Amino acid sequence: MARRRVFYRRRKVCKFTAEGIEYIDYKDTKLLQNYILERAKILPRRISGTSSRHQRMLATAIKRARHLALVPFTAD
Amino acid sequence: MNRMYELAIVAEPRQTEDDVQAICDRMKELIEKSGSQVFHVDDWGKRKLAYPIRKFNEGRYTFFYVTTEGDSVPDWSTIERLLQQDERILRHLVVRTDEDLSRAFRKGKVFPEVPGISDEDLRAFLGVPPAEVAEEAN
Repeated sequence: MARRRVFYRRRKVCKFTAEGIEYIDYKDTKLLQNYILERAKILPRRISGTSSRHQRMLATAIKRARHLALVPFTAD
Repeated sequence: MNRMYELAIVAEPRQTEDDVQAICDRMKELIEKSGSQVFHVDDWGKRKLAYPIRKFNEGRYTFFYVTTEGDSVPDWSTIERLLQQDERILRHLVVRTDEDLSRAFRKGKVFPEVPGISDEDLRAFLGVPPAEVAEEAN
């Protein structure tokens, strides 16, 4: 019998759903920083596991923060 | 209908406290002309910009928290046009927050906080039930 290789993948959970966060403030740069990659891109939800609704809220907040130069558009 | 807004202004770093104060007073006056209320002004002071704007590396951040009752909506188009034309202002942003805040109170477990207003008053303004009632329902 061929040995099957087993991959363990931790089930991703949406932090916002789990904690019941329904309001993402664009001024909360500490929170937003966690969802910004080194190149200043928005962390894709396939990696973070954020639910689509929360990902949209997050994206809006990050874009607002970018406009006000609270978070970067690009890494220099 | 009751609405809540936030106005953010990023002013040039060369402006003195007094200049920024003057701009803020003018903004407050324009917003309140319609019968709206600026119930809180948050001054972050000088802060490093995430990227340079017009060769400046710092900006002076000020946030205005506005409530309106009934039809007394501020004339944002005029206010935004003035901010756009004002060379001392690097960036500005107007966001309406009441709908998102109400939804967070109704659906969420972590309740948002707005500076300058107590949880109780905020709930009353948004028309969501007070904290005790919501807990009893569970």
